[in-house]
Amino acid sequence: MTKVLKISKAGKSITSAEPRDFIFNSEFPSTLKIVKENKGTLTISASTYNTAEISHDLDYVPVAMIFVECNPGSGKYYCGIAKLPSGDTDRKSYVDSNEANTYVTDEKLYIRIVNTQASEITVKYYYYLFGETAEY
Amino acid sequence: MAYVIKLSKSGKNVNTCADKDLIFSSELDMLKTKISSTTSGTGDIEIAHNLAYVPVCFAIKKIATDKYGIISQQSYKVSDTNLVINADDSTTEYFRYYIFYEELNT
Repeated sequence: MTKVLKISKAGKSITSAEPRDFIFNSEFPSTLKIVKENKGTLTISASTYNTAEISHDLDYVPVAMIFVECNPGSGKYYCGIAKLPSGDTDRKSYVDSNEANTYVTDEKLYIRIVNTQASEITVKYYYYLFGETAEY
Repeated sequence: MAYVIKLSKSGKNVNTCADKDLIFSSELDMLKTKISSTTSGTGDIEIAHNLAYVPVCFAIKKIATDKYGIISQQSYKVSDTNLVINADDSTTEYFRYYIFYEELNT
């Protein structure tokens, strides 16, 4: 007999067939377990770019998520490759969407950030690496 | 009386710590995976999810051997019928994608 662990939401039946009725159900597992998370800063000279290289020591290419405070001090963090319009006040910097510059391998996460300002800036970023492979 | 199951992170008091310091709580919903799979093709790649609502999802592109994009780097859209990944129009591209049971805007 297969054993199943379920926790239903308040007011929902534990015998429900609807996955959304459960906080947890081992028949519909949550695969996105965080295996590494951290934050960092990247200082970028005026009108150029810099790349954060983050070693992860995992034996696979992990699913990766990043958040970047493109406008330092704004408290607004953009997920992934934010498409900030050129006139956007938060476009003090942006993540380079070019696949040659921002990507993840089985050794490192690379985040290239472009400084649009005529002075040096320091940008905060957060990253999450999951216990799932991105590999095809 | 309602029962609650909680697991806290190492060094945190399960009775008093903030939600962010919990590994699991039966009071907090979790993303539940419907599909974790791969696909390839050109143009708009349509993946039927057979849910009657718009689910949470994302896709990751294979850039090269052992080199992959990150979440939100790939363009895709989702409706109440399909996840549509926007691949190159002429060159075959390869993707991993996730579709969750959780619905947007609920």
